[in-house]
Amino acid sequence: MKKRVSILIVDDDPGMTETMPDILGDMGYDVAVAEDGFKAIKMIKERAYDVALMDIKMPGINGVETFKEGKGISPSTKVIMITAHSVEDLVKEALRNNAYTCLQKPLDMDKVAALVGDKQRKEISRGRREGTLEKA
Amino acid sequence: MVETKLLIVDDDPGICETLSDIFQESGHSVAIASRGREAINKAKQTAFNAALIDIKLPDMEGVELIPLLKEIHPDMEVIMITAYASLETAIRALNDGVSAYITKPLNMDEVLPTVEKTLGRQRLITENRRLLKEAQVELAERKRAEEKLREYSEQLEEKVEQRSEELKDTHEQLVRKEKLAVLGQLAGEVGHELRNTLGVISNAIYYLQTTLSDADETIREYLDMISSEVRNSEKIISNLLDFSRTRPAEREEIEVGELIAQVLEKRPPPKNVKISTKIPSDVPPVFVDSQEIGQVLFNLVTNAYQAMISSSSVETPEGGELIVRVQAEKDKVSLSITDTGCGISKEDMKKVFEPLFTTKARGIGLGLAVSKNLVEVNGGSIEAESKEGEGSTFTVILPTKEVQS
Repeated sequence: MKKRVSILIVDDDPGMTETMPDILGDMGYDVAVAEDGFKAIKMIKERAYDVALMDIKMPGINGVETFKEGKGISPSTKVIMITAHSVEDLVKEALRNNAYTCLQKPLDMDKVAALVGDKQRKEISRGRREGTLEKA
Repeated sequence: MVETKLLIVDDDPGICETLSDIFQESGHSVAIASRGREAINKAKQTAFNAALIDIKLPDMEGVELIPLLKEIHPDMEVIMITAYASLETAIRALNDGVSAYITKPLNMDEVLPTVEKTLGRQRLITENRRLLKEAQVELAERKRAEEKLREYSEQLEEKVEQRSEELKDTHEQLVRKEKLAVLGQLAGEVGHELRNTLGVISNAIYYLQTTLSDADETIREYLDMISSEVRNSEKIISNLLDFSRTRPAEREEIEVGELIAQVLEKRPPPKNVKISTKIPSDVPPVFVDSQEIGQVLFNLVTNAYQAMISSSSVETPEGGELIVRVQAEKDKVSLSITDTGCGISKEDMKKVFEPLFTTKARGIGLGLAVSKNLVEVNGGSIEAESKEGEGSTFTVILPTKEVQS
Protein backbone atom coordinates (compact mmCIF):
# COMPACT_ATOMS: atom_id res chain seq x y z
CA MET A 1 0.00 0.00 0.00
CA LYS A 2 1.24 3.43 -0.93
CA LYS A 3 2.08 5.51 2.10
CA ARG A 4 0.26 8.86 2.26
CA VAL A 5 2.44 11.95 2.40
CA SER A 6 2.25 13.45 5.89
CA ILE A 7 2.00 17.21 6.27
CA LEU A 8 2.28 19.28 9.44
CA ILE A 9 0.59 22.68 9.32
CA VAL A 10 2.10 25.16 11.79
CA ASP A 11 0.12 28.38 12.02
CA ASP A 12 -1.34 30.46 14.83
CA ASP A 13 -4.25 31.63 12.64
CA PRO A 14 -7.32 29.44 13.35
CA GLY A 15 -8.66 30.23 9.89
CA MET A 16 -5.58 28.59 8.42
CA THR A 17 -5.46 25.61 10.76
CA GLU A 18 -9.06 24.92 9.89
CA THR A 19 -9.03 25.33 6.12
CA MET A 20 -5.62 23.85 5.31
CA PRO A 21 -6.36 20.36 6.70
CA ASP A 22 -9.69 20.30 4.86
CA ILE A 23 -8.16 21.20 1.51
CA LEU A 24 -5.02 19.10 1.80
CA GLY A 25 -6.95 16.26 3.43
CA ASP A 26 -9.32 16.19 0.46
CA MET A 27 -6.29 16.06 -1.81
CA GLY A 28 -5.32 12.86 -0.07
CA TYR A 29 -2.59 14.03 2.28
CA ASP A 30 -2.24 12.97 5.88
CA VAL A 31 -2.52 16.31 7.67
CA ALA A 32 -1.78 17.34 11.26
CA VAL A 33 -1.93 20.78 12.86
CA ALA A 34 0.14 22.71 15.42
CA GLU A 35 -0.99 26.13 16.66
CA ASP A 36 2.45 27.25 17.69
CA GLY A 37 6.15 26.46 17.42
CA PHE A 38 6.49 24.63 20.73
CA LYS A 39 3.65 22.30 19.89
CA ALA A 40 5.13 21.75 16.43
CA ILE A 41 8.52 20.74 17.86
CA LYS A 42 6.84 18.35 20.24
CA MET A 43 4.89 16.79 17.37
CA ILE A 44 7.98 16.51 15.17
CA LYS A 45 9.71 14.67 18.01
CA GLU A 46 6.90 12.15 17.95
CA ARG A 47 6.70 11.77 14.22
CA ALA A 48 8.93 12.60 11.24
CA TYR A 49 6.55 14.43 8.92
CA ASP A 50 7.31 14.44 5.21
CA VAL A 51 6.40 18.11 4.83
CA ALA A 52 5.88 21.03 7.19
CA LEU A 53 4.05 24.19 6.13
CA MET A 54 5.36 26.72 8.62
CA ASP A 55 4.04 30.21 9.19
CA ILE A 56 6.96 32.52 9.90
CA LYS A 57 5.29 35.00 12.19
CA MET A 58 3.95 33.33 15.28
CA PRO A 59 3.86 34.34 18.91
CA GLY A 60 6.32 32.65 21.27
CA ILE A 61 8.78 30.96 18.96
CA ASN A 62 8.75 32.10 15.35
CA GLY A 63 8.58 29.87 12.32
CA VAL A 64 12.25 30.10 11.46
CA GLU A 65 13.37 29.08 14.96
CA THR A 66 10.83 26.30 14.95
CA PHE A 67 12.05 25.18 11.54
CA LYS A 68 15.69 25.12 12.63
CA GLU A 69 14.92 23.15 15.73
CA GLY A 70 12.57 20.81 13.89
CA LYS A 71 15.17 20.17 11.23
CA GLY A 72 17.59 19.05 13.91
CA ILE A 73 15.04 16.53 15.09
CA SER A 74 13.81 15.39 11.70
CA PRO A 75 16.27 16.26 8.93
CA SER A 76 14.17 14.57 6.28
CA THR A 77 11.16 16.86 6.75
CA LYS A 78 10.72 19.32 3.87
CA VAL A 79 9.87 22.69 5.24
CA ILE A 80 7.91 25.29 3.24
CA MET A 81 7.86 28.63 4.97
CA ILE A 82 4.72 30.76 4.73
CA THR A 83 4.39 34.43 5.47
CA ALA A 84 1.93 37.27 5.24
CA HIS A 85 4.62 39.74 6.20
CA SER A 86 7.62 41.16 4.47
CA VAL A 87 9.95 39.62 7.00
CA GLU A 88 12.74 39.39 4.49
CA ASP A 89 15.50 38.78 6.99
CA LEU A 90 13.62 35.82 8.37
CA VAL A 91 12.85 34.52 4.88
CA LYS A 92 16.51 34.76 3.94
CA GLU A 93 17.58 33.07 7.14
CA ALA A 94 15.13 30.25 6.51
CA LEU A 95 16.28 29.75 2.93
CA ARG A 96 19.91 29.87 4.03
CA ASN A 97 19.12 27.07 6.44
CA ASN A 98 17.73 24.93 3.64
CA ALA A 99 14.05 25.68 3.96
CA TYR A 100 12.57 24.32 0.75
CA THR A 101 10.92 27.56 -0.32
CA CYS A 102 8.91 30.44 0.99
CA LEU A 103 5.34 31.24 -0.06
CA GLN A 104 3.27 34.32 0.56
CA LYS A 105 -0.29 34.45 1.86
CA PRO A 106 -2.85 34.19 0.43
CA LEU A 107 -1.64 30.78 -0.75
CA ASP A 108 -2.22 29.47 -4.22
CA MET A 109 -3.33 26.01 -3.15
CA ASP A 110 -2.68 24.45 -6.57
CA LYS A 111 0.89 25.62 -6.25
CA VAL A 112 1.14 24.27 -2.70
CA ALA A 113 -0.19 20.93 -3.87
CA ALA A 114 2.29 20.85 -6.72
CA LEU A 115 5.20 21.70 -4.40
CA VAL A 116 4.21 19.18 -1.76
CA GLY A 117 3.29 16.42 -4.17
CA ASP A 118 5.94 16.63 -6.86
CA LYS A 119 8.79 17.35 -4.58
CA GLN A 120 7.62 14.85 -2.07
CA ARG A 121 7.32 12.01 -4.53
CA LYS A 122 10.82 12.59 -5.66
CA GLU A 123 12.22 13.30 -2.24
CA ILE A 124 10.63 10.45 -0.38
CA SER A 125 12.60 7.92 -2.33
CA ARG A 126 15.75 10.00 -2.19
CA GLY A 127 15.34 10.80 1.49
CA ARG A 128 14.85 7.16 2.34
CA ARG A 129 17.88 6.19 0.36
CA GLU A 130 20.21 8.85 1.68
CA GLY A 131 18.51 10.16 4.77
CA THR A 132 19.41 13.66 3.71
CA LEU A 133 17.63 16.72 2.48
CA GLU A 134 18.03 18.15 -0.95
CA LYS A 135 19.05 21.72 -0.99
CA ALA A 136 16.41 24.08 -2.34
CA MET B 1 69.54 109.28 15.78
CA VAL B 2 69.14 110.91 12.41
CA GLU B 3 71.86 113.38 11.59
CA THR B 4 70.71 116.91 10.93
CA LYS B 5 72.13 118.49 7.81
CA LEU B 6 72.71 122.18 7.70
CA LEU B 7 73.65 124.43 4.81
CA ILE B 8 75.50 127.67 5.49
CA VAL B 9 75.35 130.20 2.68
CA ASP B 10 77.69 133.15 3.26
CA ASP B 11 80.53 134.69 1.36
CA ASP B 12 82.39 135.45 4.56
CA PRO B 13 84.68 132.45 5.16
CA GLY B 14 85.16 133.51 8.76
CA ILE B 15 81.47 133.29 9.56
CA CYS B 16 81.14 130.04 7.67
CA GLU B 17 83.96 128.49 9.62
CA THR B 18 82.70 129.72 12.98
CA LEU B 19 79.16 128.48 12.38
CA SER B 20 80.41 125.21 10.93
CA ASP B 21 82.50 124.57 14.04
CA ILE B 22 79.61 125.29 16.39
CA PHE B 23 77.18 123.06 14.53
CA GLN B 24 79.56 120.17 14.02
CA GLU B 25 80.39 120.27 17.70
CA SER B 26 76.67 119.97 18.39
CA GLY B 27 76.54 116.87 16.19
CA HIS B 28 75.14 118.38 13.01
CA SER B 29 76.59 117.84 9.56
CA VAL B 30 77.38 121.02 7.76
CA ALA B 31 77.83 122.11 4.15
CA ILE B 32 79.04 125.52 3.10
CA ALA B 33 78.23 127.59 0.02
CA SER B 34 79.57 131.06 -0.62
CA ARG B 35 77.12 131.90 -3.39
CA GLY B 36 73.45 131.40 -4.19
CA ARG B 37 74.14 129.22 -7.23
CA GLU B 38 76.43 126.99 -5.28
CA ALA B 39 73.80 126.67 -2.54
CA ILE B 40 71.20 125.57 -5.09
CA ASN B 41 73.56 122.98 -6.52
CA LYS B 42 74.32 121.58 -3.07
CA ALA B 43 70.67 121.54 -2.15
CA LYS B 44 69.98 119.51 -5.25
CA GLN B 45 72.35 116.83 -3.98
CA THR B 46 71.51 116.86 -0.28
CA ALA B 47 68.26 117.21 1.57
CA PHE B 48 69.15 119.85 4.14
CA ASN B 49 67.07 120.33 7.19
CA ALA B 50 67.89 123.95 7.42
CA ALA B 51 69.81 126.64 5.57
CA LEU B 52 71.46 129.65 7.20
CA ILE B 53 71.54 132.29 4.53
CA ASP B 54 73.36 135.60 4.57
CA ILE B 55 71.00 138.32 3.55
CA LYS B 56 73.52 139.62 1.05
CA LEU B 57 75.20 137.21 -1.34
CA PRO B 58 77.58 138.04 -4.17
CA ASP B 59 75.28 136.70 -6.89
CA MET B 60 71.82 137.37 -5.45
CA GLU B 61 69.85 138.65 -2.54
CA GLY B 62 69.46 136.16 0.29
CA VAL B 63 65.68 136.42 0.10
CA GLU B 64 65.81 135.59 -3.61
CA LEU B 65 67.49 132.34 -2.75
CA ILE B 66 64.76 131.26 -0.32
CA PRO B 67 62.03 130.34 -2.87
CA LEU B 68 64.64 128.63 -5.08
CA LEU B 69 65.74 126.42 -2.22
CA LYS B 70 62.19 125.84 -1.00
CA GLU B 71 61.33 124.69 -4.47
CA ILE B 72 63.86 121.91 -4.06
CA HIS B 73 63.09 121.11 -0.41
CA PRO B 74 59.75 122.54 0.70
CA ASP B 75 60.36 121.49 4.27
CA MET B 76 63.71 123.12 4.56
CA GLU B 77 63.87 125.70 7.33
CA VAL B 78 65.54 128.99 6.55
CA ILE B 79 67.40 131.13 9.02
CA MET B 80 68.55 134.50 7.77
CA ILE B 81 71.89 135.94 8.83
CA THR B 82 71.58 139.69 8.89
CA ALA B 83 73.63 142.61 10.01
CA TYR B 84 70.56 144.74 10.58
CA ALA B 85 68.23 143.31 13.05
CA SER B 86 65.55 145.79 12.42
CA LEU B 87 61.90 145.02 12.86
CA GLU B 88 61.35 145.61 9.17
CA THR B 89 63.92 142.99 8.27
CA ALA B 90 62.46 140.56 10.68
CA ILE B 91 58.92 140.94 9.35
CA ARG B 92 60.03 140.74 5.74
CA ALA B 93 62.12 137.71 6.45
CA LEU B 94 59.25 135.94 8.16
CA ASN B 95 56.93 136.76 5.25
CA ASP B 96 59.42 135.31 2.85
CA GLY B 97 59.29 131.94 4.56
CA VAL B 98 62.08 132.49 6.99
CA SER B 99 61.74 130.73 10.31
CA ALA B 100 64.21 132.82 12.27
CA TYR B 101 67.12 135.09 11.91
CA ILE B 102 70.44 135.59 13.57
CA THR B 103 72.42 138.79 13.64
CA LYS B 104 75.93 139.70 12.74
CA PRO B 105 78.21 139.92 14.46
CA LEU B 106 77.37 136.49 15.67
CA ASN B 107 76.25 136.15 19.22
CA MET B 108 77.21 132.58 20.06
CA ASP B 109 74.72 132.37 22.92
CA GLU B 110 72.00 133.14 20.42
CA VAL B 111 73.01 131.14 17.34
CA LEU B 112 72.77 127.60 18.61
CA PRO B 113 69.47 127.92 20.52
CA THR B 114 67.90 129.62 17.50
CA VAL B 115 69.00 126.89 15.15
CA GLU B 116 68.02 124.14 17.58
CA LYS B 117 64.65 125.74 18.11
CA THR B 118 64.10 125.91 14.36
CA LEU B 119 65.20 122.35 13.89
CA GLY B 120 62.93 121.31 16.73
CA ARG B 121 60.05 123.05 15.06
CA GLN B 122 60.89 121.28 11.83
CA ARG B 123 61.06 117.94 13.56
CA LEU B 124 57.64 118.62 15.04
CA ILE B 125 56.25 119.53 11.64
CA THR B 126 57.79 116.47 10.07
CA GLU B 127 56.56 114.32 12.89
CA ASN B 128 53.12 115.85 12.61
CA ARG B 129 53.06 115.25 8.92
CA ARG B 130 54.20 111.66 9.41
CA LEU B 131 51.52 111.11 12.02
CA LEU B 132 48.92 112.70 9.81
CA LYS B 133 49.95 110.46 6.96
CA GLU B 134 49.86 107.43 9.23
CA ALA B 135 46.48 108.45 10.51
CA GLN B 136 45.25 108.89 6.96
CA VAL B 137 46.58 105.48 6.01
CA GLU B 138 45.02 103.98 9.09
CA LEU B 139 41.77 105.75 8.40
CA ALA B 140 41.75 104.49 4.84
CA GLU B 141 42.49 100.99 6.08
CA ARG B 142 39.75 101.21 8.64
CA LYS B 143 37.36 102.43 5.99
CA ARG B 144 38.31 99.53 3.79
CA ALA B 145 37.86 97.17 6.72
CA GLU B 146 34.50 98.69 7.53
CA GLU B 147 33.46 98.32 3.91
CA LYS B 148 34.59 94.70 3.94
CA LEU B 149 32.77 94.12 7.19
CA ARG B 150 29.62 95.61 5.77
CA GLU B 151 29.95 93.42 2.69
CA TYR B 152 30.52 90.36 4.84
CA SER B 153 27.60 91.21 7.01
CA GLU B 154 25.39 91.63 3.96
CA GLN B 155 26.60 88.33 2.55
CA LEU B 156 26.11 86.74 5.92
CA GLU B 157 22.56 87.99 6.10
CA GLU B 158 21.94 86.67 2.63
CA LYS B 159 23.47 83.34 3.55
CA VAL B 160 21.52 83.12 6.77
CA GLU B 161 18.35 83.87 4.88
CA GLN B 162 19.17 81.28 2.26
CA ARG B 163 20.10 78.72 4.89
CA SER B 164 16.93 79.41 6.85
CA GLU B 165 14.95 78.87 3.68
CA GLU B 166 16.76 75.60 3.07
CA LEU B 167 16.22 74.51 6.65
CA LYS B 168 12.56 75.30 6.36
CA ASP B 169 12.34 73.24 3.20
CA THR B 170 14.24 70.39 4.80
CA HIS B 171 12.03 70.56 7.84
CA GLU B 172 8.90 70.48 5.71
CA GLN B 173 10.31 67.58 3.76
CA LEU B 174 11.10 65.75 6.98
CA VAL B 175 7.63 66.33 8.33
CA ARG B 176 6.17 65.12 5.05
CA LYS B 177 8.46 62.11 5.08
CA GLU B 178 7.67 61.35 8.68
CA LYS B 179 3.97 61.58 8.00
CA LEU B 180 4.34 59.30 5.02
CA ALA B 181 6.50 56.94 7.05
CA VAL B 182 3.90 56.71 9.81
CA LEU B 183 1.19 56.32 7.22
CA GLY B 184 3.30 53.74 5.44
CA GLN B 185 3.98 51.81 8.61
CA LEU B 186 0.32 51.81 9.46
CA ALA B 187 -0.57 50.80 5.91
CA GLY B 188 2.04 48.07 6.13
CA GLU B 189 0.67 46.65 9.36
CA VAL B 190 -2.87 46.74 8.03
CA GLY B 191 -1.78 45.21 4.75
CA HIS B 192 -0.04 42.31 6.44
CA GLU B 193 -2.99 41.60 8.66
CA LEU B 194 -5.30 41.72 5.66
CA ARG B 195 -3.10 39.20 3.89
CA ASN B 196 -3.70 36.78 6.73
CA THR B 197 -7.42 37.35 6.43
CA LEU B 198 -7.33 37.04 2.65
CA GLY B 199 -5.32 33.88 3.08
CA VAL B 200 -8.17 32.27 4.99
CA ILE B 201 -10.84 33.60 2.61
CA SER B 202 -8.86 32.36 -0.33
CA ASN B 203 -8.47 28.92 1.26
CA ALA B 204 -12.18 28.78 2.01
CA ILE B 205 -13.08 29.63 -1.58
CA TYR B 206 -10.59 27.10 -2.88
CA TYR B 207 -12.26 24.47 -0.74
CA LEU B 208 -15.73 25.48 -1.87
CA GLN B 209 -14.67 25.58 -5.51
CA THR B 210 -13.29 22.06 -5.18
CA THR B 211 -16.21 20.60 -3.30
CA LEU B 212 -18.86 22.48 -5.28
CA SER B 213 -17.33 21.74 -8.67
CA ASP B 214 -20.65 20.32 -9.86
CA ALA B 215 -22.86 23.01 -8.32
CA ASP B 216 -25.01 25.10 -10.64
CA GLU B 217 -23.48 27.73 -12.85
CA THR B 218 -24.48 30.75 -10.76
CA ILE B 219 -22.85 29.37 -7.62
CA ARG B 220 -19.64 28.63 -9.49
CA GLU B 221 -19.78 32.07 -11.09
CA TYR B 222 -20.14 33.70 -7.68
CA LEU B 223 -17.27 31.69 -6.26
CA ASP B 224 -15.11 32.78 -9.18
CA MET B 225 -16.17 36.35 -8.49
CA ILE B 226 -15.08 36.15 -4.85
CA SER B 227 -11.87 34.50 -5.89
CA SER B 228 -11.05 37.20 -8.41
CA GLU B 229 -11.88 39.95 -5.90
CA VAL B 230 -9.54 38.33 -3.39
CA ARG B 231 -6.80 38.48 -6.03
CA ASN B 232 -7.60 42.15 -6.67
CA SER B 233 -7.42 42.91 -2.97
CA GLU B 234 -4.12 41.08 -2.78
CA LYS B 235 -2.80 43.27 -5.60
CA ILE B 236 -3.87 46.43 -3.81
CA ILE B 237 -2.25 45.26 -0.61
CA SER B 238 0.96 44.42 -2.46
CA ASN B 239 1.04 47.96 -3.83
CA LEU B 240 0.43 49.34 -0.38
CA LEU B 241 3.21 47.20 1.06
CA ASP B 242 5.58 48.18 -1.74
CA PHE B 243 4.82 51.77 -0.92
CA SER B 244 5.52 51.36 2.78
CA ARG B 245 8.50 49.07 2.47
CA THR B 246 11.97 50.13 3.50
CA ARG B 247 14.12 47.39 2.02
CA PRO B 248 17.31 48.81 0.54
CA ALA B 249 17.67 48.34 -3.21
CA GLU B 250 19.88 45.40 -4.25
CA ARG B 251 21.50 46.91 -7.29
CA GLU B 252 23.38 45.16 -10.05
CA GLU B 253 24.19 45.81 -13.69
CA ILE B 254 21.44 44.75 -16.05
CA GLU B 255 20.57 45.40 -19.70
CA VAL B 256 17.58 47.68 -20.16
CA GLY B 257 16.40 45.58 -23.09
CA GLU B 258 16.28 42.54 -20.85
CA LEU B 259 14.21 44.37 -18.24
CA ILE B 260 11.76 45.51 -20.89
CA ALA B 261 11.50 42.06 -22.43
CA GLN B 262 10.74 40.52 -19.03
CA VAL B 263 8.01 43.05 -18.36
CA LEU B 264 6.39 42.66 -21.79
CA GLU B 265 6.46 38.91 -21.33
CA LYS B 266 4.78 39.21 -17.96
CA ARG B 267 2.37 41.83 -19.26
CA PRO B 268 1.67 41.12 -22.93
CA PRO B 269 -0.28 43.81 -24.82
CA PRO B 270 -4.03 43.52 -25.11
CA LYS B 271 -5.64 43.18 -28.51
CA ASN B 272 -5.44 46.30 -30.69
CA VAL B 273 -2.32 47.52 -28.93
CA LYS B 274 0.80 47.49 -31.02
CA ILE B 275 4.20 47.60 -29.37
CA SER B 276 7.31 49.10 -30.89
CA THR B 277 10.62 49.23 -29.08
CA LYS B 278 13.52 51.43 -30.06
CA ILE B 279 16.59 50.26 -28.21
CA PRO B 280 20.00 51.15 -29.69
CA SER B 281 22.55 48.36 -29.43
CA ASP B 282 25.23 50.46 -27.76
CA VAL B 283 23.24 51.29 -24.62
CA PRO B 284 25.24 50.43 -21.48
CA PRO B 285 23.64 48.30 -18.77
CA VAL B 286 21.92 50.13 -15.94
CA PHE B 287 22.87 49.74 -12.27
CA VAL B 288 19.57 49.05 -10.50
CA ASP B 289 17.57 46.55 -8.47
CA SER B 290 16.08 44.63 -11.40
CA GLN B 291 13.08 43.48 -9.41
CA GLU B 292 12.20 47.00 -8.33
CA ILE B 293 12.73 48.66 -11.69
CA GLY B 294 10.94 45.73 -13.32
CA GLN B 295 7.97 46.55 -11.16
CA VAL B 296 8.16 50.22 -12.13
CA LEU B 297 8.10 49.31 -15.81
CA PHE B 298 5.29 46.87 -15.14
CA ASN B 299 3.27 49.68 -13.57
CA LEU B 300 4.00 52.08 -16.44
CA VAL B 301 3.16 49.52 -19.12
CA THR B 302 -0.04 48.56 -17.31
CA ASN B 303 -1.08 52.20 -17.08
CA ALA B 304 -0.30 52.72 -20.75
CA TYR B 305 -2.43 49.73 -21.79
CA GLN B 306 -5.27 50.94 -19.60
CA ALA B 307 -5.07 54.42 -21.13
CA MET B 308 -5.52 52.89 -24.56
CA ILE B 309 -8.23 50.32 -23.91
CA SER B 310 -10.09 51.79 -20.97
CA SER B 311 -13.80 51.39 -21.58
CA SER B 312 -14.76 53.97 -18.98
CA SER B 313 -14.74 56.77 -21.51
CA VAL B 314 -16.57 56.89 -24.78
CA GLU B 315 -13.96 59.13 -26.34
CA THR B 316 -11.14 56.81 -25.42
CA PRO B 317 -9.65 55.16 -28.46
CA GLU B 318 -9.90 51.41 -28.44
CA GLY B 319 -6.33 50.32 -28.88
CA GLY B 320 -3.26 52.20 -29.96
CA GLU B 321 0.49 52.02 -29.92
CA LEU B 322 2.95 51.60 -27.09
CA ILE B 323 6.39 52.93 -27.91
CA VAL B 324 9.40 52.08 -25.76
CA ARG B 325 12.42 54.27 -26.42
CA VAL B 326 15.82 53.84 -24.84
CA GLN B 327 18.61 56.36 -25.08
CA ALA B 328 22.07 56.49 -23.53
CA GLU B 329 23.09 59.71 -21.84
CA LYS B 330 26.15 60.59 -19.80
CA ASP B 331 26.29 58.06 -16.90
CA LYS B 332 22.61 57.48 -17.46
CA VAL B 333 20.09 55.70 -19.57
CA SER B 334 16.72 57.22 -20.31
CA LEU B 335 13.82 54.91 -20.92
CA SER B 336 10.51 56.30 -22.07
CA ILE B 337 7.16 54.61 -22.46
CA THR B 338 4.75 56.43 -24.74
CA ASP B 339 1.11 55.54 -25.30
CA THR B 340 -1.45 56.91 -27.69
CA GLY B 341 -4.18 56.70 -25.09
CA CYS B 342 -6.55 59.12 -23.43
CA GLY B 343 -3.81 61.32 -21.95
CA ILE B 344 -3.82 63.17 -18.65
CA SER B 345 -5.38 66.58 -18.03
CA LYS B 346 -3.15 69.47 -16.98
CA GLU B 347 -4.83 69.54 -13.60
CA ASP B 348 -4.20 65.84 -12.99
CA MET B 349 -0.62 66.05 -14.26
CA LYS B 350 0.39 67.95 -11.13
CA LYS B 351 -0.73 65.08 -8.96
CA VAL B 352 0.13 61.94 -10.90
CA PHE B 353 3.03 61.01 -8.60
CA GLU B 354 1.20 61.84 -5.40
CA PRO B 355 0.20 58.89 -3.26
CA LEU B 356 -3.50 58.06 -3.16
CA PHE B 357 -4.24 60.04 -6.32
CA THR B 358 -6.08 58.09 -8.97
CA THR B 359 -8.45 58.60 -11.87
CA LYS B 360 -9.16 54.91 -12.21
CA ALA B 361 -12.45 53.53 -11.01
CA ARG B 362 -10.49 50.70 -9.40
CA GLY B 363 -7.21 51.50 -7.82
CA ILE B 364 -5.93 53.21 -4.76
CA GLY B 365 -3.53 55.57 -6.48
CA LEU B 366 -0.24 54.12 -5.37
CA GLY B 367 1.19 52.75 -8.63
CA LEU B 368 3.01 55.89 -9.74
CA ALA B 369 3.86 56.97 -6.20
CA VAL B 370 5.45 53.57 -5.64
CA SER B 371 7.19 53.79 -9.02
CA LYS B 372 8.64 57.20 -8.19
CA ASN B 373 9.88 55.92 -4.83
CA LEU B 374 11.45 52.86 -6.38
CA VAL B 375 13.15 54.82 -9.15
CA GLU B 376 14.53 57.28 -6.63
CA VAL B 377 15.93 54.66 -4.26
CA ASN B 378 17.70 53.28 -7.31
CA GLY B 379 19.36 56.63 -7.93
CA GLY B 380 17.13 57.57 -10.85
CA SER B 381 14.32 59.95 -11.63
CA ILE B 382 10.98 59.80 -13.35
CA GLU B 383 8.92 62.38 -15.20
CA ALA B 384 5.68 62.54 -17.11
CA GLU B 385 4.45 64.37 -20.18
CA SER B 386 0.97 64.21 -21.53
CA LYS B 387 -1.56 65.78 -23.83
CA GLU B 388 -5.17 65.09 -23.12
CA GLY B 389 -6.69 63.02 -25.89
CA GLU B 390 -3.33 62.31 -27.52
CA GLY B 391 -1.41 60.19 -25.06
CA SER B 392 1.29 60.24 -22.41
CA THR B 393 5.00 59.62 -22.09
CA PHE B 394 6.64 58.49 -18.87
CA THR B 395 10.41 58.77 -18.85
CA VAL B 396 12.60 56.95 -16.37
CA ILE B 397 16.23 58.01 -16.04
CA LEU B 398 18.44 55.29 -14.57
CA PRO B 399 22.10 55.37 -13.53
CA THR B 400 24.58 53.19 -15.40
CA LYS B 401 26.94 52.71 -12.52
CA GLU B 402 27.13 53.22 -8.83
CA VAL B 403 27.09 56.89 -7.91
CA GLN B 404 28.07 58.17 -4.51
CA SER B 405 25.00 59.73 -3.05
